Amino acid sequence: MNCADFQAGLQASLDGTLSTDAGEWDRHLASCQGCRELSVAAGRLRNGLRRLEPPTPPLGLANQIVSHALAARRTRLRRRVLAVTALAAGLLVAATLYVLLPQSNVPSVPGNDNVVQVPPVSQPIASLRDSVAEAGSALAELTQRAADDTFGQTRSLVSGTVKAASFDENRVLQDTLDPPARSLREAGQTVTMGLEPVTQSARRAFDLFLRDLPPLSANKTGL
Amino acid sequence: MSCRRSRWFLRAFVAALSLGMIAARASALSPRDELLRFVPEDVGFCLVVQDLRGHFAALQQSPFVQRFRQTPMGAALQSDPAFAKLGEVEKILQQTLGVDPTRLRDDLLGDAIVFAYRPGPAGKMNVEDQELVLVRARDAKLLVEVIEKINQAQKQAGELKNVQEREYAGVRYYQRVEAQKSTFYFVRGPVVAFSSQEAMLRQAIGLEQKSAPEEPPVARRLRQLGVERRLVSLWVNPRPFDGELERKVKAAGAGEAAVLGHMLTWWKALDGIALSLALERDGELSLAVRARTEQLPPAAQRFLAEAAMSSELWSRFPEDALVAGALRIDGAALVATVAEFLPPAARAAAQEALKRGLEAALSGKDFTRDLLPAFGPDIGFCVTAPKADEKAWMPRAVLAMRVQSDAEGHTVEPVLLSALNSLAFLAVVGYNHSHPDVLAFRSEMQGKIEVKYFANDKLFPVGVQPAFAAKEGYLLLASSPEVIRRFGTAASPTRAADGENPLLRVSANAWREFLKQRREPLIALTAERDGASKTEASSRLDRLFAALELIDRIDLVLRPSPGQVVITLRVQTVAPLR
Repeated sequence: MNCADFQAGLQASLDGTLSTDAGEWDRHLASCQGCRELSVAAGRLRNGLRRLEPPTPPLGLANQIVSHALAARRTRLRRRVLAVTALAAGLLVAATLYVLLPQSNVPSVPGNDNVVQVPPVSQPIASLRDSVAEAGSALAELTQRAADDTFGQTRSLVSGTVKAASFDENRVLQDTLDPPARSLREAGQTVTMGLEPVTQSARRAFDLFLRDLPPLSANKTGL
Repeated sequence: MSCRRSRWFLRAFVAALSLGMIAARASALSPRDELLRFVPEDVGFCLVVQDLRGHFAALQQSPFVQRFRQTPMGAALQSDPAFAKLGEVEKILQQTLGVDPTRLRDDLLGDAIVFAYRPGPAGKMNVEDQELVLVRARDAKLLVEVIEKINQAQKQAGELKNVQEREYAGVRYYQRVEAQKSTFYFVRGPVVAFSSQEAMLRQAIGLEQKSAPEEPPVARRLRQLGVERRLVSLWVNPRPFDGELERKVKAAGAGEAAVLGHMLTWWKALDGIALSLALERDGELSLAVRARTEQLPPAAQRFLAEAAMSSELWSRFPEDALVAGALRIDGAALVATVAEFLPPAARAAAQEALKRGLEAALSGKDFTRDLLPAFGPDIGFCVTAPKADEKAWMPRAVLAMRVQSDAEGHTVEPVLLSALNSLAFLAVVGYNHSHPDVLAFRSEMQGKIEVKYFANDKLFPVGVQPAFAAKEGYLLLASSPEVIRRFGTAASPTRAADGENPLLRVSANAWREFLKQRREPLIALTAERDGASKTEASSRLDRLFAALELIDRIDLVLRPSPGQVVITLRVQTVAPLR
């Protein structure tokens, strides 16, 4: 028996399908230090696994299911907040960006940049709302494209590089760490739920702020 | 008759004197503080935007914007069809309000804007909540004109039925009667206040009349958090939420109540939170948290005290690392702090699972009792680019954790190395059992240090041989034995500003160099992984490179002071923002 045969046998013994000659096994162990260490490690693993309790439904499973459902709802809300944020950002930034990257075709009085030829009020305020909303969407598109070019590409590059340099063959550690990790996730969900009055108020404050901005109030419901 | 005239003069004189005193008092305050006089101290959120005019003027003339206009990204954004839509806003603003965006930004919104929100009482938080919007304009006349034009335009559009004048405490204010609701506003010189709740507006009027000449209460809170000069700051006042959070704890079941009760302890120790944005030489996004730490559990106090110090690892990580992060953690205090958030049954179950699962690999040692106190306090990671002339193109990575002696003075390094050995053996067996190629597990001596590593040319890219060792008091996991060999005091270590502890650093400079030098293998990797053509992969890399051309580096730093901590994300651009 060589080391490769031994390792295959050891794996089979862990899988519960071992059919190797015990004498041959012992002779190899007696002559090979590396495989002896391997055998001891496997013995420890068996002992550890035997002492693990069978899986039981986690505490607060029902709450967890409800939390997942709420999380999906929160995701939808988050998307809506993002859309609204884009519009709000549009209001604040559109004018600025337009100034930073000048391509204005607005007629101005020569010699005085601050005075413009103001046509009479002829268009209803709905046009202002529509246009600001449209500008907000345009800004959101621009921001998304810029973000895709930076964060998206970076994430893709880093995840690809990390994946290329790693391998996943050891689930023992993961299985050991899973119960405490699950407890922590549940505690985290409970804390998130506990802080909902604050997060809901933040969303409500944001909605009220947008409602108070006359050009946006009519379009809010359409988001 | 003469007596009546005397009284009239006297009243006029007193009124003029009062107005003069108000004007003098207001002029002594900054535009932001002028607005904050109207804001009650018991609001839950208060958003402040100040000096838009100055910031935009500086930004417009900044070297960064000049440079940005010339970059491919700047050119691409300007030629994007979406960008053209922004110009429409300018035309509509002029047609409707008679003001161009520059005047709107500088003369109307350029001084200060405040938005305040007060949640309703417990049980009615989102039902009886109130909000207040305040704007301080440089041009008071323009402010009145714009308000009138908005009212006029909304009447034309049929959205506003009428505007009714009202009065409270001698101050005129207006009710805008809309189709489904009413809103209220008043104008006081260059200040306009707006709310959808009449009571909130009246309270603002009352507060302004009673306000002392000194700093308004909300302004003081912002100053205490160190955000009084920021372009944008959002203050979160925890106190208005106490009642609702307590109600939630009382209504929770036994298991949840324990967790929420502990959360409430932390919440009540909070004095204030501020999120702020500053545009100075660099762009900074900061989170400031002020708390009475003595009210926190002892483990949490120990954890926070340790985290407030700078890690020794920064002297070992080079300034030009692609990305590096390090902090100080009291392992035992962290676990105790986190465990306090778990219900007692879940805490016991988690500890037992850890004990049973790891005891075998740790030669009978108890993970939480024997090993955890020996972990830390320094923990960090560093990724650096290989030198240009090296064949290996993959970045070098190392994860380092300081390991101290256990409670009895015994070093735990041998136990940890033995556990890693066991796990490595099992990984090798598992891999070799299910793959035709062989994963080798080898060791090499670097002086007196034994380095164990995996080797498989098919599985890992050139230069990658995952390794681990104990060196200079640290347990190291690295991408190759060579990285462990180089681990030591860096020739040009990472610097930090006085009073600041670095937490994370990304060098865009180093990334640009890396992308330039390793362009071909990165294109091949991207194309292979995403199933894209080499042209597409090359184009993606170019876009990333173009974005990186605007930034020098990104830092996440922590600035601790008694009772307060500020975490700042700082983006250092290639040219100053102002």
